[in-house]
Amino acid sequence: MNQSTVPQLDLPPQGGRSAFHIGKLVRNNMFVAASLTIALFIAGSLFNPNFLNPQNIGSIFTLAVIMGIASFGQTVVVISGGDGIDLSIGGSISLGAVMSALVMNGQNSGIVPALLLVIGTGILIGLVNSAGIILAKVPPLVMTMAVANILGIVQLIVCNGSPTGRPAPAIAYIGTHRIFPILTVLMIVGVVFMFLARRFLNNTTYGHQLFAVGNNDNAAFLSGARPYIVRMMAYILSGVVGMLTGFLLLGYNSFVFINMGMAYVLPSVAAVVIGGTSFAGGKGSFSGTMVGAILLTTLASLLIVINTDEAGRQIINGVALVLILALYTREPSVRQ
Amino acid sequence: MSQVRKFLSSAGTSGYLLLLGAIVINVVVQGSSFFSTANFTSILSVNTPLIIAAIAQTIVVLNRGIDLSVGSNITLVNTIVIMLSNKYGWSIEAACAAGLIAGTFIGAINGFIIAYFRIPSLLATFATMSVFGGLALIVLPTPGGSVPSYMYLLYGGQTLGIPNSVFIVIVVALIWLLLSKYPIGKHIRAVGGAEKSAYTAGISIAKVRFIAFTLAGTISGVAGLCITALTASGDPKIGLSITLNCIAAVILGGTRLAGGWGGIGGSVAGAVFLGLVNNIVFFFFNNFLTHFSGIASRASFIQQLLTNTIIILGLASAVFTQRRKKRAKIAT
Amino acid sequence: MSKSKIMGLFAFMLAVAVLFSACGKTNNQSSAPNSQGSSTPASQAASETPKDKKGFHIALLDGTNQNPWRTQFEDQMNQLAEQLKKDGILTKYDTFVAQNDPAVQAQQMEQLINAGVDAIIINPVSATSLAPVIEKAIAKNIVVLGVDQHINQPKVISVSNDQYEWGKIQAEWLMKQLGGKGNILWFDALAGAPANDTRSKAFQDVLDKNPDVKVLKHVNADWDQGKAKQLMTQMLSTFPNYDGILTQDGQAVGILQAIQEAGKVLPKGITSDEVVSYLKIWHDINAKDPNKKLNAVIVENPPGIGVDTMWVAVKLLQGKKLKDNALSSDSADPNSKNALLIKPSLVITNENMEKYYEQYKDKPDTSYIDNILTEQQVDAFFQ
Repeated sequence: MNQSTVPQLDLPPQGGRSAFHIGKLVRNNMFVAASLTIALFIAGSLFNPNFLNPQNIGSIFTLAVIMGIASFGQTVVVISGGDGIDLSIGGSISLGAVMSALVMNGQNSGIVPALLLVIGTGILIGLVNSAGIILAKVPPLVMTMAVANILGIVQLIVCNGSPTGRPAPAIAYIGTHRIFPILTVLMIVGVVFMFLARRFLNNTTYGHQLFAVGNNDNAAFLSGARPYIVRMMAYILSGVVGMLTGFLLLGYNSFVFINMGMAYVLPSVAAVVIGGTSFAGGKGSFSGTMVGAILLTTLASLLIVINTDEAGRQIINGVALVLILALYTREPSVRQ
Repeated sequence: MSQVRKFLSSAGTSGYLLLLGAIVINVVVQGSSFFSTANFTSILSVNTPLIIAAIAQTIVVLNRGIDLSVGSNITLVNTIVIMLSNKYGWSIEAACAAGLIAGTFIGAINGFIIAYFRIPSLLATFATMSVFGGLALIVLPTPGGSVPSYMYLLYGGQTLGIPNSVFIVIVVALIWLLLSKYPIGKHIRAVGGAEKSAYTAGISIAKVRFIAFTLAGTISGVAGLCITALTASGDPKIGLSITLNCIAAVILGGTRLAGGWGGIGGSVAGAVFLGLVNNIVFFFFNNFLTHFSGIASRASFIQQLLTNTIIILGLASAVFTQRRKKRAKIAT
Repeated sequence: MSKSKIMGLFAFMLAVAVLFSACGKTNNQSSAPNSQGSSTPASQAASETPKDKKGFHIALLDGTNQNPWRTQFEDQMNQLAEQLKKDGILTKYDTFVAQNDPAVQAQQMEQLINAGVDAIIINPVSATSLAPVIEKAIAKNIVVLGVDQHINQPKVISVSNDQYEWGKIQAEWLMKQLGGKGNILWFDALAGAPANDTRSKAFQDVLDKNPDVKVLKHVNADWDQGKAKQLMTQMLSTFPNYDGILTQDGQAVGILQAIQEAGKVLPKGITSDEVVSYLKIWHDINAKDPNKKLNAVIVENPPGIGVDTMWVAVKLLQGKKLKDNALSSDSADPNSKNALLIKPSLVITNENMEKYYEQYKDKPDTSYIDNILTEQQVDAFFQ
């Protein structure tokens, strides 16, 4: 980020480093998002009383879990500052799904090789992104967009245009099994992931360094963190979790097709911002992102039960998103 | 030597250099037929909507924003023009005027949301993108319609050996260049490059931002009219690919995403560069690779790979040239 | 100061362009240095029936190849082209893909015209956007054919699988399965795409004739299995009282999986998806419990239409004329008789499913059930 030439639009200094210190602003965001979600559920039930039945709620939350995990990388990258953003996650998710399907091919024995391959490739993707962003100083928007293009082509080449393969039975079980109508295995995976993510962001050295670097490069550097390494790790994490999301998505869908991950890119940015993470960096939480994901997924599901056609759905989706964004993601006015 | 350095550090350098490189490669793969009127007309008239969209995007990027709804704007204008002239019998001129007003209105909506609700432009235009796309589906649910033949013949024709659509680009470019001599033009850059300083200098940030997006909307409307003339029809999904392409064009042209630095010259060059890349890939296949029969089954993937590789190389070199210019940055 | 530099460079480039194009004005018809020349379009224009019935240059413009149907479609055309090249009928055959960008497709077509080509086969990105370019091609006596999707241009013949029939056959089948009454869920594909709209109309027409069948919900799944699965998962909760499912292809696999995962009972009828994995899932369900067979139907939409169109192109270039009754109107373009519609003949139901399963069980999941016309069958369309 151009510390020397462009004045930063930093948020009030109370914006802190970890979830416990984040203070009223983010908690407010999550509270508002949660209330909005509840409002949407009620609205949905007005259109169709079955909207509130446990099975439906379970389905919506499951979708939200996938979206949330897909947005984890985005959360980390945005917190790391430096205009961080990762538009390549669509590509990583798609490639992850295609590769996992090919390697697993419906066998439980294929799980470990698939995981290794997926994680390895994710690290590679993160390294490529970091090389461009940190070494060549390409703006993250540009670099990750370019990498997304490359990943799209790699995906096609890997499967020769026709993706094949099925998830291993164990993975399909995790992806699809429902313990109770309202509780799927994926939801449990989501909760565990949230817990781990929270510990990772708030209680590890890396997590502290991440927030510090996002807040203020120079100060972080002086206190021992190394901004470049921290940011590189952020992109690597994003690549790895993106590929793993593809792996998971394969389990959820039980089949694979081209560009499975494309639909997640911009909504992940929206989820992150709605959840209270600021583009300026240094502030945010994964719990917020997850709540943002739930809100967006609920909205999308609500649109199904409303009696309108595709055009109407698109319009309402856009307008609702604008209203939600207007509600509490406003960048501070210059006066502050 | 300082003249060369001055040239190298001016805005748009990377765009011009890339364009030059692309022309050279194109001549190599295509041969002398590159220099024919038919060829120039083909490349330029088909890509004029993209060139104009790139100009619109430049204005927004100069203001440290980004507009993902350019494609939807173009689509909506296209569908409105066709609907008014075909379904309601308006004259094509009146329909075009209405389309232009619609484009301006769309830009104003964007500007209002971004300037006064202070939503980040990436997300705001992502949201409005679906709204306008949905509206286009309502206005014209299926592709169809037609325009009077003089319109597309005029658009696709040449005057004095220059494709007619180039004149439209020139007019739009001149309008912006004129505006940039006035305070508003300077303010758009100032707010983009150094917001706090601009504020303390008394510039109304919100107003400038609003104007930037509105202006971009009008220009996108012009691009919508061009696409209507080019395709002589309406299609509710015509503009989808233009958005990412015009952003690429702006980046290729050397305009910085951080705002404040850059210009339309580079973006125009970037857009033409993209058109030439398609041309290069086409002739590379048509003239050279066609002899390798084994290639045929992979041809489509290789085309994509080639196109994307060239663009990525272009993006990398654009950013690389930017780094040198940091020293010579002029803050307006 | 930098502004005037921009202006200066701009003007300079413009001047260069004018200079070169003025020089090139006489050279409108250029052939690339390495092209293996067939007879130039100029001489072809002079004679209605070319003196030699061989040595043609054909190009395919595909709108996209981002799905296996298109890959299969292109591959088969490549194979036929190789064979035709060996026989000397073709000297050059290329495929160009437009990445769903109508401007790129227009540019590719312009360049093909400039480079001199005998026939262009187009799977269009947009049904209407190529109109002006097509007029240029026709003016140069290039044979232009649409394939798989209809092009709304009176002088362009579009060879496609009859999508209206496709929709009608399955909708009528479903009505019969329901005995003319019940509730259905209706999954259309991508709104605004011509194939979608034609099929949707076919569905609607059949529904209009069956007033006792109610549509619980009508959604768009964009030919996307994942989206279809998500939508179905939701509908299982919110509209659980459906009897049958009316869906376009590319979606039924996802819908079926949603039902299976939720452990719900199979629908009384579900319509078509021509991808091989659908056939395999169908077989597996039947094998698991022969008393609870899946009641599905598959109506073909073969990628082989590409090969059929290629034959049509070759015949037209050889001077043959189509029979008068070979052409009809596409419902999206009712004022022209420019559609060569090939009615679906292959319908799979529980009666013949096993036979086709044996045929396709070793093919990849994402390949498509196919049907390619022979040269003789294509000849039947001609006088």
